[in-house]
Amino acid sequence: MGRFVVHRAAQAAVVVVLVTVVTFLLLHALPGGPARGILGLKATRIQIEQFDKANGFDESLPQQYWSYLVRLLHGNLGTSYKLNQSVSSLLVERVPKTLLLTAMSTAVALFVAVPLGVWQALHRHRVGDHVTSSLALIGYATPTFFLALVLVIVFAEKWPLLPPEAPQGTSISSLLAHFSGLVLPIVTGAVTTLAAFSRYVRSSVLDNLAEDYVRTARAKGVSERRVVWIHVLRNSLTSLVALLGYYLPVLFGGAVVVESIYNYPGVGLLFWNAAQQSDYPVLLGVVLVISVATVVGSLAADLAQAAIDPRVRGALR
Amino acid sequence: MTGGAREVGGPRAGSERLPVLDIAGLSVDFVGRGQVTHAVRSVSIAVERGEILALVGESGSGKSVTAMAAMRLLPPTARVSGSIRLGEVDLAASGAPDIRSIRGSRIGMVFQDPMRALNPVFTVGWQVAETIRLHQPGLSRAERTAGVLDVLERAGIPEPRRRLEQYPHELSGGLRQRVMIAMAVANEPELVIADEATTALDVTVQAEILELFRELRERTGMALVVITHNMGVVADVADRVVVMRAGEVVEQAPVEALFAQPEHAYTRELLSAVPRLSRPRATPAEPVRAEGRPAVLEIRDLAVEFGPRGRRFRAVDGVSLQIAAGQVVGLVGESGSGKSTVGRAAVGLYPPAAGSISVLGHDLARLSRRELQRLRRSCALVLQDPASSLDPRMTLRQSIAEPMAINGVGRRSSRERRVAEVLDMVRLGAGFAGRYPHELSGGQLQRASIARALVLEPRLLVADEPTSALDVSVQASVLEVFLDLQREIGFACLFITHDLAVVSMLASEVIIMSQGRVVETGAPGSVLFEPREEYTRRLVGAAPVPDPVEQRRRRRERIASLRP
Repeated sequence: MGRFVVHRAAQAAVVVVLVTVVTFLLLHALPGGPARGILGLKATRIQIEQFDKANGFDESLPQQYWSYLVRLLHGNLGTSYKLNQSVSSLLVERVPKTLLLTAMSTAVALFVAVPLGVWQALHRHRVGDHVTSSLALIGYATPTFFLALVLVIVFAEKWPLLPPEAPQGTSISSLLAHFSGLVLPIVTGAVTTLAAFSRYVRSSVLDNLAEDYVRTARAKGVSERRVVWIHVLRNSLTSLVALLGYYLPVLFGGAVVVESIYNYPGVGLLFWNAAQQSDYPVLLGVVLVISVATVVGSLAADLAQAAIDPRVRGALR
Repeated sequence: MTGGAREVGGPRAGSERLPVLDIAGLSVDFVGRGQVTHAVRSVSIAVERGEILALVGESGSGKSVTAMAAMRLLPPTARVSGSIRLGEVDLAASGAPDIRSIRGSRIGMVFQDPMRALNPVFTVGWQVAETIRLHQPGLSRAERTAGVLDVLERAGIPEPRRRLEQYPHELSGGLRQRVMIAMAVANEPELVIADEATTALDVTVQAEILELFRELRERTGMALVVITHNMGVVADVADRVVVMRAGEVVEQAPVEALFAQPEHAYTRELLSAVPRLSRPRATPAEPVRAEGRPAVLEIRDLAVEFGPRGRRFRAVDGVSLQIAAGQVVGLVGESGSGKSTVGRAAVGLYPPAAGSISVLGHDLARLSRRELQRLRRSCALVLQDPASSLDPRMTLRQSIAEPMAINGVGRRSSRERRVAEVLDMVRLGAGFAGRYPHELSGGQLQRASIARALVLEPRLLVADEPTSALDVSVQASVLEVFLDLQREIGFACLFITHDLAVVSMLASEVIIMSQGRVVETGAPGSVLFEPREEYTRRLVGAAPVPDPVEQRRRRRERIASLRP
C-alpha cells in the first residue's frame, strides 16, 4: 500500500509540474503578450516596453518560467490586475466557499441518486424506471444556466419562497447563517450531476445482480431487500467512489455557472469575472488550483477505492 | 432447526419415513419473446435421508433447473408445475418468506465457481456468519462466531480463526469451495444440493471435496444431491443415480447397477463416451522420426517469467521437450502448473527468459519480426473456449479465412474453396460458412476453431484444453475428428490438458508438469500406470474413474496412502 501511494503521488507531482508549464505558456501565448492585455489596445510601444521591463517579461522564457516557479513555491501567484489583491489571498478566501457549495450539492445528488438508481434497477424496464430515467435525462440535458433561471423564476419570483441570490457573507458561517439563500444554488448543482450518478448506480446494480454471489446469497435465505442493499450495493459503491474523484472537473465546471448566476462568492464567480475583465493572474491562479485539485482528486479516488475494495487492497500489499 | 447432533444414518436408514426431498411431476417452462422452452418435463425424483443422489446429464438436460426449482431460485420467466416436497412442506406452494426460512437452513446449496459465488467485498467470516444470523437470530455475537469457527473446522479449513478476516480472493480454489460448503451446512440442513461443485477444481482438490461430502453425510445424516456431468464423480460419491436428457429422466438406478447394466440407450451412450484411463494399444503408433531431420518443436530448458522487474515470477522453469512430425505429446498439469504458458511460448507468444524454443529448426529468439511472422504460418493454436476465441461478429467463413488473408495466401475464390474444404474436414460441411458463432453448439464451435487452425496446413498445432468445456459425448466426437485429422495431415501436436484419460487416448508421450517444472515424462502406459514420482501418483490416484467398484478400491488405496 505504501509503495502504491508513493508511486501514485510521484505521478501526480509530475502532472502538476506539467500543469504549471502549460499555465505559464498560456500566459505567454496571449496575442501581444500580457502587456497588451492589461494596458489595452491603445497602449504605445514605449508603455509596453516599460511594462515588460517592470514585470520581467523581457527575459528569456526559461528564465521567466524559473522565476514563475520560484514565486509559485513561495505561494505567490501574482496580483490581480483589477481587484488590487494578491491572487493567493483571493483563492484562500474563495476556495472554501466553492468547496462548501459543491460538497453540499454533491451530497444531495448522491443522497437522491443512490436510492434512485437502486430503485430503477429493481424496476427496470417498467413504467417507473422509464419515467425517472427520462426525467433524469432531461435534468442532465438541461443547460445549467437555464435550469437556474427557471428555478429562480418559479421559486423566487412566482412563489417567493427562497431568495434569488446567494448570501454575500465573507465567512463560511455567515453563508450558512442565511441557508435559505443556498438552497437554489445547491439544488441547481445537484440536478445536473444527479442524472449521471443515478444512471451509473442503476447499471452497476444491474451488472452486480447478474453475478453468481447474488444467487448464493438468495440460496442462503437472504431477503431480496438485503441482497440489494447489502450484498450488491457494497460492490456498486466501490466503483462509484472512483467515479466521484474523476468527476471533480465536471463539478467545478458546474460551479462556474451556478456561482455566476446566483452571484455566489466562490472561485467560480471569481473565475467568471476575471475572464470577462481579462484578469490573467487570477484566471491562471484558478486554473492552477483546479488542475491540482483534479490531480489530487483522482489520487484520492484511487486511494479511497483501494481502501474500500479488498481485492484492490490485496493487490497493493 | 434445533441444531442438535442427529443420529448417523446410512443410505437406507430412513426408508420407512418420508423422503427428504420428493419431486413429483415437475415441469419447468421458460417463457420469453413468445417462445416457450420446455426445460424440465414431468420429472419425479425422491431423495432419501442420508442418501447421496447424483443427478447426471449433459448441458441443457435440465439437471440444474430441477435443483433450482427445488430451491425456488428460478427466474420469473419460469413456469413451474408439479409438486416439490421437503419432508412435510410443499415448496412449490410456499410463499416467499417461508421459502427464505428454508433456504440455507433446511436446504444448503453449493455452486460451481467459488470465486464468483462468494461476495468479493465481504470477509469469509461475515459471509458464513450471515447465514447463521439469518436462521438462528437468537444467538449472541460470541455464539455466532463460535458457530462460524466450528463449521469452518468441520469443512476442513485449516486455521479457521485466521480465515474469519480473510476475503475470498485471498484463499485458494479448494479453500474457497470449502467456505461455500461451510456456508451450506452451517445450519445443519437435512439436504445439500451441490451443483457442479467440483467442476472448476483440480482433480486432487476435487477428491478432497468429495471426501468432505462423504464425511459430512456420515456425520450428520444429511442427504446430498450432486449435480454433475462427470461420470467419475458419480462413480466416486453416489449411492443412486438419476440420468437426465432434454428435460426428462431417462433412467434411475443404484450406482453399481447403472454402471454395470445401463438400461437406457442414452445412458449406455453417455458411459461409452467417457474417456477412460486405458493402457494404450501394445505398440502406440510410434512417431516416424526421419533421421537427420530436426524435430518440429524443440524446447530446451525453457523459463518464462511474468511480472514487473524486482517482483518477477517464474511461471515455467527448466522445461524441455521435443515433438516430431506426426507425434502427439500430452502436457498434463493442474491449474497454475505452467502448462498453458509452455504452449503459448511454443508458438512464440511469450518470449523465453532462459532456454530456447525451435520450431522447424529455427530458434524463435533469433528470428526477425518478419521471419517470425512467416514461421507462425506453420503454427496453430486451438484454445479451450471456442465461444470466446471466435469473433462473435464474424461469420465462420471470415474467421476461418482470416489466417489466409493476413498471410496473403491465395485469392478470394481459392480462399473460399479452402474454407469449404476445411469445414468438410472437421465434418461441419461448407454449409456452415455463412453462420455466426452464436448459431452453433459448443461442439460445432470447437470444430470450427479446429478448421481455422488447420486452414494454413500447420506443421505444429498447440491445443490448449480443446475439449474441456464440452459435454462428454461431444468431446468424444471432437476428439475423434481431431485424431483422424492428425493421422491424415500428420502435424506435430502439443496437447495440453488436465484430463489424464484423454491423454492416454491420444498421446504417444506424456509430460506431467507441476509448479512450472516437469515432474515426469514417458510413454502414457508407464507414466499413468507405473508412475515413478509421488506427485504423478497423487494426480493419477485423485482422478476418479467412471466405475464405482474400481473407484471404491482406488479411493481406499488413496486414503491409505495418504495416512502412512
